[in-house]
Amino acid sequence: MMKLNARETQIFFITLGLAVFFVVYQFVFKPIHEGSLDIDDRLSLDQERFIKASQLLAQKDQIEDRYQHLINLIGAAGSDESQIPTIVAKVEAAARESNIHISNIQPQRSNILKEIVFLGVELEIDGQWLDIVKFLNLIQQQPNFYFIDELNLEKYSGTVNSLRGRVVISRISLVNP
Amino acid sequence: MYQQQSVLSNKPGAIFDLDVDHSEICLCTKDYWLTSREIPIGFKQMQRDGYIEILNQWELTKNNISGEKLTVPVELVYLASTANDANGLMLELAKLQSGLTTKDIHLTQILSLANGVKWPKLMTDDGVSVASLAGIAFSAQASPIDLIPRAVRQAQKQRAYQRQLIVLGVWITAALVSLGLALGMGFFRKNFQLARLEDRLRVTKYEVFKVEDQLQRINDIEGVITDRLIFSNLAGEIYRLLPAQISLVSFTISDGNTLSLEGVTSNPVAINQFQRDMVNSKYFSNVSLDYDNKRVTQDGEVDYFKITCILNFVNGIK
Repeated sequence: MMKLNARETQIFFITLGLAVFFVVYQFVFKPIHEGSLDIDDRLSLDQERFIKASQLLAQKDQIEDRYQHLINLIGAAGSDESQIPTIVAKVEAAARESNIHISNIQPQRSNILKEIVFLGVELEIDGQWLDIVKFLNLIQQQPNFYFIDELNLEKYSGTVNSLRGRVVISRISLVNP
Repeated sequence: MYQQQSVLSNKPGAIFDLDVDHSEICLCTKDYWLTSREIPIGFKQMQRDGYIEILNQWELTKNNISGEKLTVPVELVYLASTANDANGLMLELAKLQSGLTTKDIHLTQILSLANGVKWPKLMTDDGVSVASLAGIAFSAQASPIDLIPRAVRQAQKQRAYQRQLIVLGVWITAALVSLGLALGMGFFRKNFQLARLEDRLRVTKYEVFKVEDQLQRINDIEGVITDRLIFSNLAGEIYRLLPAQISLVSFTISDGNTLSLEGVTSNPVAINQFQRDMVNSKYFSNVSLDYDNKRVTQDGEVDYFKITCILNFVNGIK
């Protein structure tokens, strides 16, 4: 191997030093610096998530109470049609009270939307306008949430306000309360 | 130089300065020099022809002292050389005279030289006598002149320079490590914080997921309930807006939010009034008159009409 003189040795070591500095900067400091920036983002993101999670957990009992309250208001659980008799009973009771004649009751197929089940019945009714309003009002009174999905009333007598038609009502139930 | 040796008796001693192609034999006592002879026999000849000739020269030297006849036998012989080849001669001298003490002065072992310095060529290139070096080897005191060959000095300088470079490299490395630690400390601390935070998030994740799911279900249920049509409120609004001259004959709600009203009136202006009031009501939007047919009845000419609109889900109706 050729022996280097003092000047060549100095140049060699300076070049070697620069090369070492470049390698150390490129493969050690730069990744650490970039990793540090990345970790800052992750840290602030995680801190936000943790604060949000803590706030949410602090409201846990309130949310649970609110949920239980809603379940009590809805008053039904499950997606089967075993709820239909309850609906029919309420409809018949309201019809009796408001002098509405129901000529047909037809259970509808249940619909599920976001784990909320809609159990419905189709009614064929006839009666006076005000009685029908009273009937539907009685049905929609609490407890339980009843919906009027469809309604079609037509006047069939020229002299009195007698109406007949069909109405589809439904109530909600929860799949997994 | 011989005198400087620490243990010397009064008997004479000798120094063999052995080289490759010549040698020098010197006889002296503790107090004074006796004789010195240079002979043309070196290691090369000794290896080729054996030790007979040099032993003859040794005898000649002992017997030809010009000043004083050597009456007592030589007690001590120093063999100064730069190689290990003096062992053979040492044995031959011991055989020749019983009670003779021989000492090997191996210059390359006594003088520490720089690594890579070729001995004895560089020494001779520098013009330094091996005999002088032998004297230095004997001496217990420091040399009065600098006898370090140039090559050795250069090698020492080179070694010192390399040592400086190594020290500099160590310092630079230490500085880089310190800088790395200083820069990396924050990174490692943040990494530790992140790991701890992620652990805590992982622990609360299931609980948070449950609460979030429950909250989502509450929002879904409340959304559905908020969009519920309260029929009595709708009926009350229509009763409020309906002119006395209009009689409704059909009332239809389809798709949960589309309202169609069919009616009859003897006053067409009332239809316009009714439609305008519906447009102005916050409970209805997209109010449109689908048709307005005139028919002649027993009571005169009447207008049959149909109005369709979209129900707005606002408090009161919903």
